[in-house]
Amino acid sequence: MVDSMTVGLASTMVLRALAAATAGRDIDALVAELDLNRRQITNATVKLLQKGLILRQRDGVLRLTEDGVAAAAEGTVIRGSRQKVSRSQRNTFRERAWRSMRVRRRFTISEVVSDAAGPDDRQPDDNARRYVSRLRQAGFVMELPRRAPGTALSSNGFKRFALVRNSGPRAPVWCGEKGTVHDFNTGEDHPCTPS
Amino acid sequence: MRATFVQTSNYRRFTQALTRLDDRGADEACLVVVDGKPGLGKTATMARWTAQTGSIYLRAQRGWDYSWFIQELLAELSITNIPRTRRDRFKLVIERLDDLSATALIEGRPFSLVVDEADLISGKPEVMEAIRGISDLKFLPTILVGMGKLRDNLRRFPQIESRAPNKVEFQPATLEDATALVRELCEVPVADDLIRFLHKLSKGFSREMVQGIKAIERHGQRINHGPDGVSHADMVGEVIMTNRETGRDIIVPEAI
Repeated sequence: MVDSMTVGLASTMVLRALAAATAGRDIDALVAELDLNRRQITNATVKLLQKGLILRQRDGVLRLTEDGVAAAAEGTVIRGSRQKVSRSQRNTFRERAWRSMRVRRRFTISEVVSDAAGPDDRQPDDNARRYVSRLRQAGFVMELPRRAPGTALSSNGFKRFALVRNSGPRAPVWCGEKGTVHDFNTGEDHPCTPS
Repeated sequence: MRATFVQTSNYRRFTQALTRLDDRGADEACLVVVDGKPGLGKTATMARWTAQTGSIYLRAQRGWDYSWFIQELLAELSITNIPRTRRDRFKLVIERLDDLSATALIEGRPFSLVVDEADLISGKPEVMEAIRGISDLKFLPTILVGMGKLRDNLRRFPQIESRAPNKVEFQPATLEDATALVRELCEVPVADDLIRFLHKLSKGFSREMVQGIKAIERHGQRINHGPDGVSHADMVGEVIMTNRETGRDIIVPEAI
């Protein structure tokens, strides 16, 4: 795998790979072809897109623009400052669940699941329940006193929650080793207090 | 009730409006206006859209001015090192939005800026012009969500109105929508006559329909219903939903 600390190397590799492929390449083909992981290729293509060197067709195929063809022909090496490489959003179930909680502010587990679940998620209910439980223990989420009525004969109803620490767009992450929830928005660790 | 998102005709019209932005004639026409009465599913639609696409979501406040709006946007973009000058802040917002939309484009997913409760700012030219400016500069699909006042207030800004040819008014659910909601959400089978009754009684408001589905499911799990599922006759005398105008419980009558 290419050293990710070499700024611009991945972009240059993608530029050259696209110059060699007359029919263009999609991300999957680039992942298979180059010694780069998907994240490196995505970041590299974003940089090339912003420089106007490539374009993306509707079917996801990436091609060089005229400027891109010229840059590749000249053997241009892409350079850039590390600061400008932004962290791409992750698209995990918990990231989506956090976004759902931020929009709804008050929610049940099933509401979060219906917003956040995708076709590839395995057991989203369990995942959401465990995540909300950790967030509650760390003080991000508060359980509301009144439950939403259940439907089953033996149901005690569904817990309702409120987001009380809406610290920012990045989803807090449970760190099992430390027993804390890390908030990337503030850089703080919040200890979980079981109740 | 099953924890699943049902794609109703309102949701489909909303996503079609966003798809149409790709085919727009003028590049600057990037605004989509979404409005409709409370209880028609706007919040659920926006929650789903934002969760799935990672779009930037802002909830407007009554006191918003230009500075407050930009501060909120900077926070949503995870920008903590906030520049001192207005011009630098704007530049940083544009750069970060450019990064995010380029990444979304490469990953093949939609990306947008959602401003909820936009009624509250639709009479404030400085905020509306800032939103238009951001949307124009990066051809960023921008969704303004509100209720009745939003559309009327936008008429005061022809330069914004002309950029929002895509307007989606959330309508009461159709009978097909009601059927889809019941079939996909309710964990007991429900007969067609009860679905029609629920649709009529709820006046197509999804909030009331979901309330009714919960009541039907609760009752359906306690009785032996027929092969077609819980019918209107099974529900006679049961509370099915609350009247949104009076706040009183609605009990299913014998005659439809």
